[in-house]
Amino acid sequence: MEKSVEELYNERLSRLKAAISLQEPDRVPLVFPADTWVAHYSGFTIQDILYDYEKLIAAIDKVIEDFDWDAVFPPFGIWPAPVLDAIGQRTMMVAGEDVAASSSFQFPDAPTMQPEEYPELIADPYAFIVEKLLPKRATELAKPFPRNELALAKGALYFGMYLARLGAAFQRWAQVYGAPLAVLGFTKAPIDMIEDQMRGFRGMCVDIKRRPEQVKAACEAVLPLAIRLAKTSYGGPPADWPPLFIPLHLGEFLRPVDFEEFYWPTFRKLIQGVTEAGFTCFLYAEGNWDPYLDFLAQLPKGKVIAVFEYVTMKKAKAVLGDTLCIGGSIPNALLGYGTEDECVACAKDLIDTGAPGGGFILSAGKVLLVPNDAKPENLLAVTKFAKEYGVYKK
Amino acid sequence: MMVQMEELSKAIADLDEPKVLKLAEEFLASEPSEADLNRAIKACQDGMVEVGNRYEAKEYFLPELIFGAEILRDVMSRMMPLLKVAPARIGKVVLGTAHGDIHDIGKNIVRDMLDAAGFEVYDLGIDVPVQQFVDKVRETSPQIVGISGLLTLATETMKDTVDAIKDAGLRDRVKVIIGGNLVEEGVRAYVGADRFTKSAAEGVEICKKWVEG
Repeated sequence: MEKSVEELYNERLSRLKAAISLQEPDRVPLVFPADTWVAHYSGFTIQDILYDYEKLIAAIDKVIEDFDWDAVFPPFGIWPAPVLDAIGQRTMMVAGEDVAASSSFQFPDAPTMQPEEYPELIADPYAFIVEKLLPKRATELAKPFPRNELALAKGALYFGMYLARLGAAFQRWAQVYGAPLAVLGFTKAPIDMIEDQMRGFRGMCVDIKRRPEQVKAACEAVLPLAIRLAKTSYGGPPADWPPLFIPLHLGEFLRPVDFEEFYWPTFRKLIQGVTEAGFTCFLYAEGNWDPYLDFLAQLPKGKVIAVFEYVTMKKAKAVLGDTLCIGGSIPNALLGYGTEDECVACAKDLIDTGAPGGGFILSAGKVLLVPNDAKPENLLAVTKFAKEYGVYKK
Repeated sequence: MMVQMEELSKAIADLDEPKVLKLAEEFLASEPSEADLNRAIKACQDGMVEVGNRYEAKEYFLPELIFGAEILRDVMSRMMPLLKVAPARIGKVVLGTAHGDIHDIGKNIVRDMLDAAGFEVYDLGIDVPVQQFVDKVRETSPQIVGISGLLTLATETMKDTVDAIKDAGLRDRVKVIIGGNLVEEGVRAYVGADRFTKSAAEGVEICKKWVEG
């Protein structure tokens, strides 16, 4: 007998919850982070889905229908363009405006905060961000009163409309497809917030050399905001599923000694803070994380999923198997340029190494942004294979 | 003077910025001759080569490369203008980020390190139209074209760029190297480049081998 949508939903939810709590589910959960990739796949440009939310949701619907993964990745990397236009944001390059209509968002490495401003950031990070940085990041917010406040109100209104539409879609995905969300709400490591939104990559690389104490103090100052961001963006009481989405950026670029000094202390406090508040976490760790596994082994047990862009799975399983749910990730270069057989062989290898004993999901190395990040036939082949091969034998 | 040169070289390799600046100031205050200036510039470049070596040895990571290049550029900007004759260059490279991609952190490190290694670098910037690469190659006759890209969408425009260089009849006059986090052998073959690298330091070594023959 065919399963009801509700049964399907509950089956998937227990599969995901078993994996994150380090138990063996019925089979390996499949969670692929299809972001702006959904546009081209469903016949739209990225510009289309940034402006027309019906197209955005139709694009995600099609991906859910065709791939039938265990959870839907909400479009957190897809910023609604009307909101961006209302505030005149200038730090992201937007499809159809600054880059091609088919391009993902792109982020120039242009700092909005100067190195001399660390004392201000440290003294009152919220005031500094609102009063100093927002006007630099968005031209309409730099205009004199009342135009700045009208622009902010307009942006907030548009954002509320977008969230309402998205919320309805979340419910429909559960009710029509039996598909839970993969993540909800997000935050970032304090140093990633400062690097991504304020100092830029190059700026932060130089700051940790020239003003290490200020960088560390700034991370501590920003930590409460990072925890607050997690809570407000979740939009409801904490739950063990869906987890918070936490992309990790700067970590992979740091020498382990610098990781320990600059990245780890406040990142660890962030994860402790949000898990103690009742949340779970879904980390997307960009880059090669082999050098940092021993740190991650100190995170709270059974509360965190970590997908690595690159990692030696055998080593990750040995070091983290008792602590984190590990995401076996098929590299985007392989999904985009490899053959179906190569992708399936990679998935098999990951499942063989990572899945035994549970605490494992299958995913892609990076959020899927543009068509070249994954050929649909490769994703389909991997999905079909893993749904059979990933079954745990009782 | 020799001791000071070695110290300067070592201070750059160790990324000891205060020491580099102190040594450079002392050196410049001594009213150096043209030959001394050339020796000091060479010493600084050697220091940066050592930074690259330590990066390859995984002793240094990307922030160290960026900081090294930053220190080097600062010192060079003080010494170079004092030279009466510009130093000889070992080769020419046309460099840019592929069309459609605006990421330039990696490309800029490569530019600074190529410059330190003695190359004349024509940096076309980011989101470089295919034709601009072709025009610059025709204008400057470089031995090497370097195309950088972070996003997979850059793969297509890297290929377009190499095809256009081919169509212009210039492909056999240049070596093409592509660089970026996502490039690998499959991407190299697809694009039609001669080599690929994920590492700025390795890229510079490849370029040096090409011009040294």
